[in-house]
Amino acid sequence: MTWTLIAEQALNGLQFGVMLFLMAAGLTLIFGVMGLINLAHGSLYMVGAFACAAVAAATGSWWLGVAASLVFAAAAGAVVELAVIRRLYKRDHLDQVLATFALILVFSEGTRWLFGSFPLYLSVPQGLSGAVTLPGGIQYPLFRLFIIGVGLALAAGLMIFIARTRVGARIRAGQSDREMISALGVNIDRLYTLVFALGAALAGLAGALVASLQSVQVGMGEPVLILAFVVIIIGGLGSIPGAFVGALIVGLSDTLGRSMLPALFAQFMEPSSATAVGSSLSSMLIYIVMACVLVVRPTGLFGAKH
Amino acid sequence: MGFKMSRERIVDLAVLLMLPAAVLWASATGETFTITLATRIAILAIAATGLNLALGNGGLVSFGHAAFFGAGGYVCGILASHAFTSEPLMTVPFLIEGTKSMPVIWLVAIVVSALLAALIGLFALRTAGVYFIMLTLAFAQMIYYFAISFPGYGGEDGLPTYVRNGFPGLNTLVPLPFFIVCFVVLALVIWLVDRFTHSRFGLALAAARQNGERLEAVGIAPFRIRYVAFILSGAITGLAGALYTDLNRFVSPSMLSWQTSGELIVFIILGGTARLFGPLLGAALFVVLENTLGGWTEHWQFFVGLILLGVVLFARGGAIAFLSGKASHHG
Amino acid sequence: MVEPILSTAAITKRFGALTACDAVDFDLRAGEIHALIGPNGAGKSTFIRQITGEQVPDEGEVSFDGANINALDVPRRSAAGLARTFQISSLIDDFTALENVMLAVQGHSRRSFSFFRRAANDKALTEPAMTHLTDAGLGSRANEKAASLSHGERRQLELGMALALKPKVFLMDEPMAGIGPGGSVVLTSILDGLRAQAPILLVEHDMDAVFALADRVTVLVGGKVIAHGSVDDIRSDPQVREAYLGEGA
Repeated sequence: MTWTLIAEQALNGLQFGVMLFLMAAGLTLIFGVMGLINLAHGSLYMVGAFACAAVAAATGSWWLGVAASLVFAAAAGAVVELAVIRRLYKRDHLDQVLATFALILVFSEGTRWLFGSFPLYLSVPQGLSGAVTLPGGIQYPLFRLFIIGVGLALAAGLMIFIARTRVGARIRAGQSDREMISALGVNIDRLYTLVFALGAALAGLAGALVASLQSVQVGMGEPVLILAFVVIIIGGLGSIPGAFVGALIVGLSDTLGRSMLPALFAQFMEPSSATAVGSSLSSMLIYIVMACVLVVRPTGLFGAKH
Repeated sequence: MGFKMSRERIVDLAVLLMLPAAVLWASATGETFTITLATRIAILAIAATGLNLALGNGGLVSFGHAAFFGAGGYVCGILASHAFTSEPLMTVPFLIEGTKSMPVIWLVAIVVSALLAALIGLFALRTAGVYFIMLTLAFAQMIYYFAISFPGYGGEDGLPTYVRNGFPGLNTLVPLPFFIVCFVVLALVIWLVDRFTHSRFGLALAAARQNGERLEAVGIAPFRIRYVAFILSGAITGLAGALYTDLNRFVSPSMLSWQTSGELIVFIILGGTARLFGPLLGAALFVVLENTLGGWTEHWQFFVGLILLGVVLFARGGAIAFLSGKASHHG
Repeated sequence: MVEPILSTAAITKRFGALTACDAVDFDLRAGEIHALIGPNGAGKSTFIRQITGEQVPDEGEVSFDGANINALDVPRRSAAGLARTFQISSLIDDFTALENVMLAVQGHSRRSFSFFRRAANDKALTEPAMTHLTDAGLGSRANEKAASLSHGERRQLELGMALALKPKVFLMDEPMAGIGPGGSVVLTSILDGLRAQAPILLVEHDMDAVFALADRVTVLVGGKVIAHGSVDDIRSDPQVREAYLGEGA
């Protein structure tokens, strides 16, 4: 294993990490502000990916596809919030889990109805195709660098938005004291719809960005959703910086684990069993990391103490 | 009060007897498929009754019970496949061979899933609420990915067992005896859970669900009560997993998937949380719904989702509450 | 002098810059009611949480029955004989009054891992539970759901549960809070009889009750003990009158 290979895998991990951040940020915001666990967040990711693939195919413009993913995911989020989610804020977590599980069924089967069972494919946009040479002679795909850049910029933007703007101040107030902000005369219903749509747009964007890297198909959202849960458990519920750090930990340890563990075990095992043990172990690595974090800090790295 | 109690009892009894009644009718008319369907309902009801001990009685919303269901399923698949090929599982430090005997397989399935629940519970029960939901989901997903990436037992493709395992004195290859086996196990499990929930342990578990602080103040540590409930719950769901593999003669990672965990919760909600016969009624409703809608449209899941949404948003308390005229809600 | 059953030696608890409990010494002896009073925010709740085990002092030690119990958690302290009632009634609302007390009897018996026998037929649970419920004046309400009891009855049920723990010490966090004059007369007489069973650490706002019941009174202001003595001492202490009863100056 060479250093350039490791560096390349680290960049892949970073790209995976920022994508997870876009998912986890929405989830953690929605939980922090509304106290809601939303299993259907993966469906919004899927909506974004399908919207991007379909619109890009129809218009020939990847950029229009990305714009469509934002619009469709945010609209789907707002509609779902208005029709279903807002009835759940005062319910217990079990009802929230069940209703959003039902939403997954509706979204997944609805999408299959519209687009069929065959996956869609989307190529990398022209201006962003090809590879660039990084310092140290590493050849790396420009598009993945672009995703890293977009993800980092959005992470910074989101943190500034929440720390500096008026809406951000309301979100922070909502996280600490729900009664207070309604007492302050903030239209809480509108704030909730806005936060939900914002989270949905971020998830939809994540779906659109990976649509050029992998196939777009029904059921693509849920594995990512569960990884985003792992991110939140590690980072701490309700914390955007926590989601960022957690996403990088998960993205890097998963990617590096998959590429390096089999090679590591090959140092002292026969190749076939090294591959078996290495790949099984690397598939469990992030969960082991999560368990370790929990032992040390039960509420996550950035979570409030009990 | 007395009248409603008895009405609830009557509904319970009717729910329990509906499976044998359907099977009786099916054997008379030669509808083998209905027997298989009833067997499936019985097995899923065992799994959901197990989950309900943790979820309904203990208030532990586990979104990861597929891990135990799948663990039981793989125990059955692995033991049976080793018996089929006559290759021992391991030879050092001691010899473990495969088996085709259901009782032995059940015992191993119970022990293995209980151990897995003990391990997962050790981490997950340190937390509560949303954390607990996400953690159980995450750990189940870990087992799922392990089953996919571990090349030994079929990986992503799953593991066939070819021939159904045997029960002393019965021909389990015929649908009817296998249904009877599953139904008797279901009845035993329901009886057992009823015992648990009305015992001292059940009293403490219900208290842990409602007010952990109060339980601590009378000198009982909620963690230990919840931990034991979680392990018992996982063991029962694991037993159901072993039967499910025997029903399908096949085990695959899909038994371990998050959808399986979600469906187990759906059974409980459809039937009614913290009601002894709720999971059975819920499983029956779900399987019948799946088959009826599945006959009309291949997109039946879309409508199942809508119906489920309707139930959660507007019909809290589940079907047992509805049937017994008791507008109660869980919590 | 009698050895105290419960005592604190200079326990201190800080939350950031705030010292909620500042080197508090306190002791409780057999057969007495020792009241802890003080204005809101004086640190009474923080003090009692360090006795129950919900919080651990930053400095100092809590001793019970001759041993340092700083390291014991809530259930262990309860099992050792420290029974508390809550400032805001904490009951199992879906349980009947009797079942609530049965739970306490079960906690005291330390036998919760029994899986098959019906608790409702378990005479080792039901009989003592009924006795304690009657002692708390709720015998006639045994089969009512806790949720349907009146505020005063909930207080009495809390007491019944505390009795069932057969404690060496009662910790009572504002047992009179929110009940009317009639109810507080009933409770006062119940508490009065209770001191024979076990001494009581009484945190209370109701001054009539405190002056009627307490053998000794400790006054906490700003996390510090500012006075300590008999009811008469406290009544006449100028510092207490100024800082707490709002007179003087």
